[in-house]
Amino acid sequence: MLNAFITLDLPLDASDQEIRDRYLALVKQFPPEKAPDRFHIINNAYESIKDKRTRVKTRMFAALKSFNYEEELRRLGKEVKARKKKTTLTEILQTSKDIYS
Amino acid sequence: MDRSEIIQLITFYLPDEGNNTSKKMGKKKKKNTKHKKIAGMDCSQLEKEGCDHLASNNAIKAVQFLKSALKKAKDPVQKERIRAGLFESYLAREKQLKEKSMMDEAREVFQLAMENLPKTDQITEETLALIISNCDACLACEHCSRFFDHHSPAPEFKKLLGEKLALENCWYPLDSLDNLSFLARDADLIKKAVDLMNQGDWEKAKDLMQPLPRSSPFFNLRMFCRAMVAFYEDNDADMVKALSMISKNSIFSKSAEVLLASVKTISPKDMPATAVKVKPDNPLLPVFYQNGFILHQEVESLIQEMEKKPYSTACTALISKLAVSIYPESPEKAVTFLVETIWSNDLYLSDNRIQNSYFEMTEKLINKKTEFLKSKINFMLPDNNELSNTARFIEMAEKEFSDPEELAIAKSQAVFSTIQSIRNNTDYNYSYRPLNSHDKKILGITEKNTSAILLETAYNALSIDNQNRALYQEVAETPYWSRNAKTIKEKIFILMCSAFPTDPYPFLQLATVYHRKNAYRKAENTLKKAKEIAPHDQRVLDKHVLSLLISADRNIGKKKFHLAWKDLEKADTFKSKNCNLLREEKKILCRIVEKPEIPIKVLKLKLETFSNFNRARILAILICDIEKAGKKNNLKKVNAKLASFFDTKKFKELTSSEAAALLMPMPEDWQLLFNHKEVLNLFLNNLKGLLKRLDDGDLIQVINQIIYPDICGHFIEELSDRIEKRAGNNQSRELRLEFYHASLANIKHPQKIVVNASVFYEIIDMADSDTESILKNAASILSKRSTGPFRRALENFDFEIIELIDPSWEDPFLPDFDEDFFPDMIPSPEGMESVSELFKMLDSVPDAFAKPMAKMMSKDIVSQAEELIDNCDLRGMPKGTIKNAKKELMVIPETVDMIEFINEFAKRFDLNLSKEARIFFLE
Repeated sequence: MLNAFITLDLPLDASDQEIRDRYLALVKQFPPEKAPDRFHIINNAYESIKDKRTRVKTRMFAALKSFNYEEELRRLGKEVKARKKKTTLTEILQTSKDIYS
Repeated sequence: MDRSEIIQLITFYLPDEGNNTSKKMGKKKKKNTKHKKIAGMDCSQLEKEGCDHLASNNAIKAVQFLKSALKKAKDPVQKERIRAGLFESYLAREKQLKEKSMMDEAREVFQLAMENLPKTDQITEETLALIISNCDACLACEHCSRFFDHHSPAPEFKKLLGEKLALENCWYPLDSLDNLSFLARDADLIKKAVDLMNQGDWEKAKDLMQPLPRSSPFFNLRMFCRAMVAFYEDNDADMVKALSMISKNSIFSKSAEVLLASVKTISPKDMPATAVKVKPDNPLLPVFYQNGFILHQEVESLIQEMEKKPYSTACTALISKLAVSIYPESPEKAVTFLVETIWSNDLYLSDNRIQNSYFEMTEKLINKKTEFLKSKINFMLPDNNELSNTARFIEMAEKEFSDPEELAIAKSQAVFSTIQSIRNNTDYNYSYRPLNSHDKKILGITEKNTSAILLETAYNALSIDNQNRALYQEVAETPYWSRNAKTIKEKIFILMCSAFPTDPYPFLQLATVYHRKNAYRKAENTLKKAKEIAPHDQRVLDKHVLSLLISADRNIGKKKFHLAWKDLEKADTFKSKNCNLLREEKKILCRIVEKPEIPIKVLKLKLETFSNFNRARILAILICDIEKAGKKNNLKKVNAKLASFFDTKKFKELTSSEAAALLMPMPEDWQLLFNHKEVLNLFLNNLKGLLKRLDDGDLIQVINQIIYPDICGHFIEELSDRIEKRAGNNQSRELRLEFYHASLANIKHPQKIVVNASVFYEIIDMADSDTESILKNAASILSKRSTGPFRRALENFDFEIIELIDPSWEDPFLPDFDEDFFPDMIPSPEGMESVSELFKMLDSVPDAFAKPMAKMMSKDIVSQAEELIDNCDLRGMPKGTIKNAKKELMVIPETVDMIEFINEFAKRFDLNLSKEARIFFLE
């Protein structure tokens, strides 16, 4: 289930409406005719968490049913977006200085 | 041996020590030689040697020679020159140390360099740059001010110094140093911007610095701020543009490299030359990212470790680390996801050692949740003890799901999966593994027979989660025979009707249950409700017509023809194309039973209005119905005449697909009106050459769909003919026919193996890889129609199993080759040894013991026989119905065995059977 939330870039406690809105936004960004592969991934992710029932179902057994765990992990590695940190100038310059001077 | 010889000998046996000593001596000697060499050189020679070493980047030697030169130098000019050389040598050494990441040592060396700082007029621009980057802002300003007294300041130095001040947020040197006014001009603005950037408000800082021109010493800062704004806005284009304007020697250049490495939407050819690959351990990455930047590398490490040593301590550590990178907000959830995903690889593995190391790992990672994980894994494994595993899963789920709604969904979903798995799995062996009282309590089971147990479990799950449509669907497809099962199914669909009040489907299902319970009025009322909800729904219309036809059929049976005609006329008012054929058949049936003297020509004419295909169907159903309607002579004659219609040449015009459609099962609901197997037998026995009209593909399709032991003979004969005609041909099609031929021979005799393994191996040996996969597929389909070891052989496509078994094998469990049938109505054969063995045993003991034993046995046999009558709802039923049920159940070898056993037993001992049981077992 976690991978679906990561694909849609949503928190685990997102509501049905938030999931739907995010899905529609992503479909708009990656329409099936232009990005069929990406659309397929987004659609699968949405279908597995779209409502409470499917979320419980997915949470129960989906991970254990992974066809190929290596592929699944690699896909996850690609899906996880690098989270940017709110940083400050001092932090950047101080770290640079400590490392390079 | 004299003393000198002894010493020599000892020295001989102590070579290492001797060598070490000589090495140490050699080193010392070399050092002394070097010192002697330096001491012997004059100042100029030393200076020259030092400068040469500096030029060849040998900083250590350069420092050594120049230090000595400085000691010997007397001329102040020469001294100053040597000092400058020494300063440079220290800086070169400092650089080397930095490259080796020896930062503390580098700092110390820089201090030594600063002690030898040359006069300002002798300082080069490069040296100044080093001073700016290494000294504090105050000292850097001082040196720059002095430098700028002698040289005009280059824009790069202005920028470097500007950055230095911004870095240390130290601005007071500007107040006293007049020649740094170019910095003082923008200082106030930059101070404010730096404060904003230190609060993380890059946007405002960017707006504030907007007026700074390209020539400003703070231009790099402005560009970096702009890049940071673009970085947070995911605006790669603007970020790249801003970063490409930052000078190479700026203090922001390393940060710019990291930022450029994150660009994904710009093609490499459009990237600036400063864009380089960033190593995953770059210490600047955590400044900009919380996680995820090097995730793919962490994933690869875990995969590699799993390959090397699965579930090791290293894997545990990698999973923990990866979980934080994947989902820093809740790493424990990511850990659960990862351990489950990884185990999917070994889910069906039965190696206890690997399992143990996996669970050891999960204990460390998810601790208490391991028990739930174990219950999940057991639940997913194909096991005969599904219900017990479901109980365990539900028990554990109560701790896992805190939200009651989610818990209810989880429970009903588990029950759904179980029932689906049992239905898909052709083994019903689980019914022989009784559940313990704890499991029964968890699942809320009070029933005893299998289908009722499943339905009761489903009902309990649906009571807490009435929206589980998939479970209702599964319930609809679960066969049910016993009275209790029918009652539970009725309760389930009443529940569904209230859960989905606007959907006609549950009402239609409920009506079917009422039909099965012979509660026609309730069925009619339920269908009325369905019609109110969806008046134009074809399913509702069809079901309504079917209900009227069932009622008409009943009235024909009771000879209430006026009511039957009323039902048939009412059925005419519904537009139901799907039931037209049945409606017409019932009209003809009603007319024949009402007036059997009806001229056969009239019937023939009526039947000729239908197409060949429909006529064949009507005829077969009609013949079955007339047989059911009564035993009057005139009806028998009509039936004989009707059967003769099958000889018509026109039926030979049936196409392959039409012939196949005749044999395929009719709609499930129609089976409320007639038995499909009877109709099938009629076709196979009366329509001569029907199978010949099927092409190979259709023949296989038909076998796959309808085969059961009683009709195997027809197909075996047909397959033999086809194989004989194409003898010697080993093409894929022929091999497939041979495989079916051999398999059907074993399916026909569920109690023994007729065709042995070698035949199957011969066929498989001749098959190429494509054909072999076709045969594997065929074996998988046919396995569902077979029983015992042969079924295992087909399932595994491994025929060694049947080679190993005793030819007189008897399956201890009930078969399920007929999907329409649930074996739960037949009592367990446990304890029912073969008749001959039993009688042999009874004969071997004295009468005094044999009689009480036989009495005890007869009690058991009677209770089992009566149980079957109850389970099949045959209690109080007319003789005809009981005999029909017997006929239907005779397709199951265990029923045949049981009947034979009871017959044999009854011949020798008294059996106090009920009327119904006597009809069923003894007539």
